[in-house]
Amino acid sequence: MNAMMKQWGKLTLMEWVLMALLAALNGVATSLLSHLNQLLTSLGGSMLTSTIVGLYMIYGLLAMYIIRKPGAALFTYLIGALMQIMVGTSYGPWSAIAAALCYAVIVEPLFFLVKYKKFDWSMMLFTGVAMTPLWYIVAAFMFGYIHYESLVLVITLAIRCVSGMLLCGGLTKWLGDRLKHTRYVRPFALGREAMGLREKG
Amino acid sequence: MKHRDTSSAWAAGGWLHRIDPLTKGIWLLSTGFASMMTTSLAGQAVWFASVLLIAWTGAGWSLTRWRLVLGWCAGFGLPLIWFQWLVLPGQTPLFGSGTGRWFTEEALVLAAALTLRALVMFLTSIVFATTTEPRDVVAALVGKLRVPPKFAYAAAVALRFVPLLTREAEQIRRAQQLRTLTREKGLQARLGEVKQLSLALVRSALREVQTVSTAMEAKQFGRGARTQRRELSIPLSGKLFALLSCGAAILSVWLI
Repeated sequence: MNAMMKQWGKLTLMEWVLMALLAALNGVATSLLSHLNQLLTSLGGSMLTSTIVGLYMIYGLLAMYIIRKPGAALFTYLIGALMQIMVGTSYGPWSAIAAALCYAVIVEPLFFLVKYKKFDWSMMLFTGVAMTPLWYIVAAFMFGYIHYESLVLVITLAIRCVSGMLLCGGLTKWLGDRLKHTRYVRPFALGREAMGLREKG
Repeated sequence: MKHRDTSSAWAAGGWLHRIDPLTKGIWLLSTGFASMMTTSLAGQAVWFASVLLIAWTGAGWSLTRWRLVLGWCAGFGLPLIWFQWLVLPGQTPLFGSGTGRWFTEEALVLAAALTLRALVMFLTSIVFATTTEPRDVVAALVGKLRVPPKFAYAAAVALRFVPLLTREAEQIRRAQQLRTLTREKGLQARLGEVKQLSLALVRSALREVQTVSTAMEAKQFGRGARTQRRELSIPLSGKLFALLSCGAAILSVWLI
């Protein structure tokens, strides 16, 4: 535990700023998607809204993809939650905190297990899927979805998993790979790895 | 020199503006918790009414803001009630036996209760956000709760960049539209647009990272003990408000 705390302390100021800006991007995405979200809620409640749920999960996973250190996803999600509380969130403060913790509790151990070295397509798509169920279960109790018909719950979970896989895992990997050779990520693990590979090649 | 939280723009509103963020935070979390634990329609209605009353007496909202908030509540709440009425099970059909297990009395009551719960969460959050200055939240987190400054200030940085990045997103979107002139139709084209917009936005955010971190390093951020320019005090009314909020939440959960 002490070792983990020390690792968390090793996040540099630049990495904290990156995490903050990725959290800000989530705020922008939330604002851009708000009309679509409302339209989907009107047409098909939580079921249709679930189709875009992956887009709201990208920022923490992208921080982990770029920084590749313990705590990167946890702190990014928590910064995002705190920011949402400060500006006001449609689903309340508890949902912001709980969602952040539910995503982080999956992402952090998964990348800890692979020693922050495996960031290929299979790992990213799997992480995107794995992040989905825990928050869905917590939200089901929080917002009362648990009372819905079982079939609705299963279909919604399946939609969320696909959204998590493609819009979170897949899009994060795609974005990360497009950015890895740019100068913006050179101070971070992703950029350093890309530079190393290029030099070796 | 220490500076107390008396900025006129915020002190000019209702009584909630004069209460510190910590006690308001306690109200926010305890109301949310009690609403989550309440399943009855009457209980949710009481919580919803209490939040409306607090907002009406303390938030100092203009008529335009009230219209916006209530419009959002209707726009979000009515479709949600409808959808939940459709997917919640029940026994007593409201429109004769032809609809079977659908559109039942029990489902309607539960749908209304769950929608009110969502609205309580939304309203409390909006009341907190519109009556609390973000820099006071940061000062309270660092000064009173001893949250590491890097974390609290990261949230402040994030907040600072949301409007800037939103403006940039709008410019990027317009530029993309100008390039193609006509908007392509179909799911694949739309997904392509989302991907390009996401990439451009992430690139814009990353461009700012170096500028902000260099500025913070130049100001010796994170080196040595931090001093606070703003000193937050917790007034007696705030303490009472927090105590009442906790008491009401405990009573509500205990009554269930």
